[in-house]
Amino acid sequence: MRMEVRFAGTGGQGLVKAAAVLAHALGVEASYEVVQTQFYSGQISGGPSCGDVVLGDSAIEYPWVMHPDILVAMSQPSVYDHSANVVPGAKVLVDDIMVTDVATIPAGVEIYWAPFTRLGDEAGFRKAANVAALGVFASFSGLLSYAQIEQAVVKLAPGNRKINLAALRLGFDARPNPHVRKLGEASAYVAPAFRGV
Amino acid sequence: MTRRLLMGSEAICEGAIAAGVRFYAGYPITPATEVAEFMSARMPQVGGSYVQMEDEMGSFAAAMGASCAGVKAMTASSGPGLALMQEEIGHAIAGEIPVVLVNVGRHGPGIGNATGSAQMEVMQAKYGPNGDCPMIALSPSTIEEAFWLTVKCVNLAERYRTPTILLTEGLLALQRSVVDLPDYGKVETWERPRPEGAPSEYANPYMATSLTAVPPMGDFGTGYRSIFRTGGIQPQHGAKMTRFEAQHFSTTRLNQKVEAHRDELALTEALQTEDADVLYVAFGTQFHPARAAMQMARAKGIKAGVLRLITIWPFPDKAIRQAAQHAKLAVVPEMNLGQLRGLVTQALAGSGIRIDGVNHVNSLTITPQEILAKTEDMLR
Repeated sequence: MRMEVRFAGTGGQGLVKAAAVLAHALGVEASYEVVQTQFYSGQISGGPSCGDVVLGDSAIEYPWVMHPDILVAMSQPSVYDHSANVVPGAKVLVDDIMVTDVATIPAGVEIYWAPFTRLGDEAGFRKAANVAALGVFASFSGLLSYAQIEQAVVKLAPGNRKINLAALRLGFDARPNPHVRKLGEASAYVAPAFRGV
Repeated sequence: MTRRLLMGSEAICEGAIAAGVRFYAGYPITPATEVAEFMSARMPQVGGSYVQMEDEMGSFAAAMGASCAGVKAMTASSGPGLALMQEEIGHAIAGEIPVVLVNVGRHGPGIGNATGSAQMEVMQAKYGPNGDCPMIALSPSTIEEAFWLTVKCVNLAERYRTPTILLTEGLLALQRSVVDLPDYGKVETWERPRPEGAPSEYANPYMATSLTAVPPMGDFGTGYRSIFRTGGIQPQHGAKMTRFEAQHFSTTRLNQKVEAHRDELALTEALQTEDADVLYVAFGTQFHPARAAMQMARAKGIKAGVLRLITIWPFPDKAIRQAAQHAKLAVVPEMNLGQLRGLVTQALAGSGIRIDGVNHVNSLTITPQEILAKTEDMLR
């Protein structure tokens, strides 16, 4: 089994941190083999950024994400940037206030609207949206129990623990809304094999 | 054994600590800053010292000073910092001062793209300093290996009294993976040769009688005579020689003390090279696409094999010739414009093997498809 996960968005949203926390949860709290990689621009914040995790049940031979099986898109530009990398069968979770246009995501890819940013606000701090995304990811993917992702957040996530755990719980309990495509909305473009960042 | 999620930089730091490094001096530079960051936290915990220096030259010089005082010392930087350190590296080579330098490769030339990974210091690692320099440079492909090769770099620096380089890349140093860390007490560590007799019987840290000798080195402040380590060659010898003979002897010995151990230093990993018609030669992170390309080629009936270079310097030319015994062509994937390919071409000179490369300087990893496409193109 090999599975690729990508948290994509804008620098400052805590995407690399989210990927690192997820890698710890999967690799140490659970017993998957994991490799976590990242991409970010030279800008301090505001540039394209993503945190990637590849997991499997045996040693990961190829460490980079080629086609994410689950793409978490936290900003509109990240949807445009990574649409070309998702292939039919993949699932994309998009932030329901930061993203408005999902028409570039190819047909055959399941799209879900998730309230990452709104849950961060509800927990008391918008920047906890990445922790909410971890909660959503854990229950949505079924890969991790609440206790496992909670352990990882407690150990690795910086900032206010109370807010982090509130955001995590809200995320874990949230149920992302499947997107219903309008006729002709999906992009006809399908990525050539092995296009990765 | 403890199972931990480690960043590549962290694995390098832990490897250094396991090998006995207790001094770190550094100056921040993307993507090597994390090494300094982790060391600043870890050094005080293990009774070591961390110094934030004013620049890269100062960093390497501080590490040399600590080493002269008998402490295993390390510094880290990236391409532009490595360029600045060349004078000190040459100094450490001439002065035979063990120091470990971690180079986390990034895009160049110049400032290049700071957040872009690359493998552009293959030649600089060896030919950066002036003069005829020996160099030991190792390059890990995984985070676990980053730990063990850092241990090896520290050990080799001590044994041969020469600076060593861990040649890694942003792609690996900033990657995280789960690693089973060993009990540090059980990690094999080597010490530099130290004088055994009384200080009055000790001549100086450069007195050697054979071309492969690594003379014992007394720690500063212990009473053993220390010549000021100016970086000037020390024409010292055990026999009567003219000044010119001694200079020839000492310069040759600096290189021979490493060169004589080339076979045990030149580490490689060969995958399915016994019957390979097509040989991929890769190092560092680019081993992964090479291996994936080999598997894809084999599935298509192309007999491909991979030779992974663990040691970059001294260059493992013998292993390359061995792996290429049946090869008709060789492909060298690397994240520069052909530095390793040049060396492979040199190693396979006269063999008639066609050699080409897949080269990325856009900071994105090479894909297995690109390597396979190049292979099929060359077979056509």
